[in-house]
Amino acid sequence: MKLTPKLALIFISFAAAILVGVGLLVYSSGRTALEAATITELESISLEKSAALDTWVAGHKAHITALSHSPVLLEELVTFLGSDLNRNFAHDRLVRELSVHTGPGQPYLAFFILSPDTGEILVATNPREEGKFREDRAYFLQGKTAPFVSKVYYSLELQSPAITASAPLRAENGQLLGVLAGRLNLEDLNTIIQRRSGLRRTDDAFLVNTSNLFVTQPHLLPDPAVLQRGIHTQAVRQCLQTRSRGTISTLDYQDVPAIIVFRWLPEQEMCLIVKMDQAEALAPVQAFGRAIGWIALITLAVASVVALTLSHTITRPILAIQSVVQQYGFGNLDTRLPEKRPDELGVLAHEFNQMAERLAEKDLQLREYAHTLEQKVQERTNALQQSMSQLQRAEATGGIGSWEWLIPENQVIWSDGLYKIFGLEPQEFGATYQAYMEQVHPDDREVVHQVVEEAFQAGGVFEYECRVLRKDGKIRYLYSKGEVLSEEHGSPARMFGVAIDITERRQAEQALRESEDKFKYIFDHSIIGKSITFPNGRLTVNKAFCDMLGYSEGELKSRTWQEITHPDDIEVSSTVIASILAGERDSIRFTKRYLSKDGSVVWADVSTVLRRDAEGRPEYFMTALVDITERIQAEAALRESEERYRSLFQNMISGYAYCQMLFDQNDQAEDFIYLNVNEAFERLTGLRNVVGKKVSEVIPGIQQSNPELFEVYGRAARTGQSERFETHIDSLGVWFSVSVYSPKQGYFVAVFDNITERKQAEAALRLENERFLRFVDSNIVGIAIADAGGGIVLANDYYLNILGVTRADFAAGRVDWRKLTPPEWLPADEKAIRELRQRGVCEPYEKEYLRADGTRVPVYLADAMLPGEREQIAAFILDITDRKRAEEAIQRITDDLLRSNAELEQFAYVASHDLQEPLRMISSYVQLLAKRYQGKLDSDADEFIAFAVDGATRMQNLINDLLAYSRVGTRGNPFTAVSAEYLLEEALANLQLTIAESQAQITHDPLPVVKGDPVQLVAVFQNLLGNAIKFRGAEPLCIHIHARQQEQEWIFSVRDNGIGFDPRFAERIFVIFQRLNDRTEYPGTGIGLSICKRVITRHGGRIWVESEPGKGSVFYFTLPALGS
Amino acid sequence: MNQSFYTPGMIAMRIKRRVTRLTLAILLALNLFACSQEAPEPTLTPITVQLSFLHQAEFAGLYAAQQQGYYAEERLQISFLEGGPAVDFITPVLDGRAQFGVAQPADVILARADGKPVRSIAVIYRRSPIVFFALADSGITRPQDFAGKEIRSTVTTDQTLHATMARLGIRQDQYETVYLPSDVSLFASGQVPVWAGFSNVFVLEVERAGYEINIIYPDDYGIHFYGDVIITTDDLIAEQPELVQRFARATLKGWTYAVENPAAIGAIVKKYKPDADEELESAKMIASLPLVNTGEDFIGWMKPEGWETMEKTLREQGVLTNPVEITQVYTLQFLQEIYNP
Repeated sequence: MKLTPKLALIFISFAAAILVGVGLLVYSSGRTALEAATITELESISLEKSAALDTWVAGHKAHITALSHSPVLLEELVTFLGSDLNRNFAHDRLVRELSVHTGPGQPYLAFFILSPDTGEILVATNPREEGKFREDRAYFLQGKTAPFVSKVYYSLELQSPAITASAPLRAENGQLLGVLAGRLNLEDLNTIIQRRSGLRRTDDAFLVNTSNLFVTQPHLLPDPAVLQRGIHTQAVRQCLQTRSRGTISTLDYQDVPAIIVFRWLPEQEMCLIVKMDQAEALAPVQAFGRAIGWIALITLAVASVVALTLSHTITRPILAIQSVVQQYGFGNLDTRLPEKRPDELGVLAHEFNQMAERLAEKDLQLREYAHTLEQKVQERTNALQQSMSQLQRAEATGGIGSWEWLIPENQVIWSDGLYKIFGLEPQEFGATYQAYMEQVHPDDREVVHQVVEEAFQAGGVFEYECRVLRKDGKIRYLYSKGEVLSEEHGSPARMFGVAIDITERRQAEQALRESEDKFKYIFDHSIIGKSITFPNGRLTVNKAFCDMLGYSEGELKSRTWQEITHPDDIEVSSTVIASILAGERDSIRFTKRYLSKDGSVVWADVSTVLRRDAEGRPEYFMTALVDITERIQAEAALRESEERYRSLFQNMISGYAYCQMLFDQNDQAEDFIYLNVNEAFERLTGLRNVVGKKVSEVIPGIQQSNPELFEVYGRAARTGQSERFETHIDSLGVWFSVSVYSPKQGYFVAVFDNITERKQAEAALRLENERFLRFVDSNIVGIAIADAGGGIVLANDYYLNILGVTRADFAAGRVDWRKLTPPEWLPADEKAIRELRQRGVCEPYEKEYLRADGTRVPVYLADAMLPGEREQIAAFILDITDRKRAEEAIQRITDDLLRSNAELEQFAYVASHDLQEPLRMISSYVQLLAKRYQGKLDSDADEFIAFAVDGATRMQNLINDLLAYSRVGTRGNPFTAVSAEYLLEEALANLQLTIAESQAQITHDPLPVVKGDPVQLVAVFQNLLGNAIKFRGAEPLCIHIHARQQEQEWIFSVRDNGIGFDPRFAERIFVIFQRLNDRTEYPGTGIGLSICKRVITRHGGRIWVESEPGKGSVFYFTLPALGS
Repeated sequence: MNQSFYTPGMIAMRIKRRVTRLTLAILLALNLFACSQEAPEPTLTPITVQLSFLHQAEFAGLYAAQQQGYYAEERLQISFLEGGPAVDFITPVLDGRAQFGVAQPADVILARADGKPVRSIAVIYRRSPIVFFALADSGITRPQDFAGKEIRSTVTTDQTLHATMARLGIRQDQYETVYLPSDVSLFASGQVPVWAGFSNVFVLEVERAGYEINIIYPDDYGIHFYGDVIITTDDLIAEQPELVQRFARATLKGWTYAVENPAAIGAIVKKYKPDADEELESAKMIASLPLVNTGEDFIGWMKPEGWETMEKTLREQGVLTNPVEITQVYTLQFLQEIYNP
């Protein structure tokens, strides 16, 4: 680069560096300050939210504490827990009380009261929650002792975060009655956390729990679905991992750079995240940055102008010196610089002038040296040419040539001998390394090149052999040896060497190798096994030999011929070998057995010849062998087969007759003569000694009785066509199945079997089949034979009618029972098929078919698996449309009845329940009247008040009993197995006071275990015992309870010796409100026995009584036995 | 044969290049030697994992570990055996057809009690996703309502079902279980009124198909089970603890990925189940988040108390009758090494 611009650039860069440095410093300090301000702002938001959250939690704690002390709540809870009668009423009151605080806009979503022992939800504002258990929840465990607000947790049921507050519910005496738990309404929490100043645009605050889930909705992500997705930003991760507070500038949940302040809230185990986008927070500092940029740009422009002027002033004299030096460089050696300047440039000019003088002297000396050097080179060249000519003479002897390669010039010099070997004239050779390589056979070039290249690297002597492809097409073999000569500093300078034509030697070697190869090929690849056996027994074998015996070549080499010869043939083989060795003959061919590797016998046709050496000594046997095992085996098999057929003929079960046919003049078959028959013939026909006789003699009249026999046999004998037929020989009374064929013209062979039995069986089967079809076609029920896949093999009209298909459809294979079955019924079919496969039959079941017209037909179906390999199912179906209709009608009536019954029960319940309320008021005020005004009014008033009190009390008792009565049907418990002894004990315990008072003697026999509702059954015992005590007579009361089993039920009896009653009333006493005695004498509402009757009826039992006035009563009732 | 002419400079350069190559080769050989001392197994170890059900997002973490290359980083080559409603998923791990499996903890406890040497090395669903559900208009809202009914179950849900019912005093002969495929239309037909299934899988499918259902949570009835756990055999733990460690580490890394990227799971599941509804599978993963990432400890972590509670429940409800040493049902060895808490 030129000096002037260079200098200018340096000045400008310097100015720019200062400007950028100062600018950045100012910008970054502005940015830091702004960032700090933003963080402070976010932290104060965070602090405010955290405090608000604490207040919110504390508020809920206070609220639930207050609620847990509510007297109304506690009073109802005591009632709920204590009284069986008012339990439901109390339950409803509790729910109503708690529901006031739940719902949208209320602090709670739901309330529960938990059992302190089991954690079971006893009362819940949402009835569906009742019966669930919360025994392991922190709010239950902690809430038993003190008010508690849980940390935030994820509720699977709500699929949202949840917080639950709880507090113990204690009775006045401090006894723990339950735990009150309320699930907080997080809507308020959301509002608190989402509340914003409105001054900023991108600020946001939200809570995240330890599962990385949003607890409150971030306002920038308004979709409620995000609450279920996790958040895994760096801020959240850091907060959850370190469980501390901090600040971080990073990407937020929308992947936008933001400033984020996070705070761990240990109480609730949540992270509070407050954030603002960097873009918004740092907007002022960015504007400031842009202003700085503009100022810097203008300053830089001014500095550039100044720098250019300055540099120009400095470089002007330097440029003058440069132009003189340039002229000197072009050869104008007389040029000199003016030396008049006083500064450093003047000194520079003076030094330059002196250097120019000295250079002129040196130039003269150099010219003289060059001349001397040229003379010396000429002398060396002459000496070299002389030595070359000596070498050429040596080569003239032929077959040898020499060469030299001057590497730097890439020039190759060949001797005449070498040209001769290559068959080239000197002018035909390019005299370069490349030209040399072109003469080398293409296949050898790579090798030659490699040798030459290695010689380059290593230096010294090298040699190689290669082929030369001469232009006359001949190939010569060449042996080359050469040496590399290097210059002093090591790089190769030239290479020289000699080449010898070794073609003749190579050709001789080649011929020898080919002859050996041919022999080896014939030996190795012959398909005939060949071996060379040495007198010591060792073998050399070919592949065919190996294959024959299953050995590898190596395995056979280590064996002697004796080891692979069948033991029985060793002696024979030895004799043969001995005879040859003795000179009796030169070769022999014989058959012997070998043993293959797997032990099997291999037959071989062996031909061996002995080779002797020049002196006639045995050298080795050459043996050829062919595997004839298959031939030998085939011969043996043929022999065996002939034997077998002969035996078969005599022993065969079928009858056999070989006959000659006799024809009449019209060439019609007239008679035939038996030529040969087997034993079975005699056995089957009962005819003996028939050979040589005519059939007309053997079976007289056969021409008339079985003319078809002659027709068929005649046709076979004439045409040679074989035929098969069945015939009944009347005279013998036997059915035959006959095959006839003709071995030669005019003769035939009949092979026959007695099939009389089969024929009889067929007839029987036909009858059976007809019977079956009649059975199927009776069309009393639908019958089909089908497979599990939907196919139907057979169906009667009734079946097809039910399915709504025609026989034509069925015949065309268009009927598939699966396709006609609506999908919801397929599982029923599957179940039946499983059952069929297990048991062979299935329980009859109901299903529907979908008919072609779209209607559904209900059927009753039973299947049976048919025997046989193919899985076939016999199906019997009945159209039960009418029955279904009737069932539906009954069901409708039953439903109506049930509904009206339920309504009545509900009415009784509600009526009695609602009557209690005003009655309680009447009763309390009348009692108040009695207490305050007793004796203050006149005696009539006292009496009236007493009547009123009595009336109200009775009314209350009546209503309570009525309630109990109505509840038998509606509020019953599920039936369980329960011991009647226990029921009795409970009843006795409840009646303890009454029994003690009456001094009753109560005894019982052993009582069984029954199935029922224990609470209700205790009431039965209690009522019956209570009645017996109430209606006792003058003598000491004895009650005895007894039970005996009768078939599927137990009959219980409760016998007393009380006042008894007229048996006319035995029915009436079970009717509600019916009394036999005066109320004043025997108090009571008259409901007890009707409750008993209702309970026993509910249990499927009966209740009755036997009594006589003054002689006591016996109450009987039955209960189903266990397992019935 | 193009390069047949050499200047001394070229030759010198070739020599120099050769020397450089030689030096490199020596260095490389030394380096390889050094490496081979550290890593004796440069090849991938083939591992088979038996899943407890058909391919779906329930196994998202395992798929993610394979797709994100976490198994490859641990030099493991994983193949999965699919399970099904009635597929025994413990036996293949015992007889070596699979080295690891996904199982229900109750089944692991029962297997151990039968003397089968299986152990859990990590728990994936730390809150069990198994729930019961019925059509809303069936009136079935509590387990007590199941009595006398047919209940659809699978081998994975059986133990939870029996434990829940036993807890409420309902015997096994008072209801009937049937194994049926997770088929929404079959459920909707109402023939089998109560179904057991996974809240994050089949329940989700039913709800998305638009059916109103009542869900009954065993958790509400004192049954606090873990969900899917990773199991292997005592032998593998004893003989190749380092292999188990590698598998566990990559698997938990996969689950961490799934938890952090639930929306990406649909596409991953589709690679294993080509007809999968991507959006549905992602939704399944989102529904699984609170079960996998419960906010306590670490993903995959187990607590001895958790196992003790399960054993106690199974024994109290009469499902477990044989004696079992509960500390042999699981091992914290690998979790402790991975998380080093």
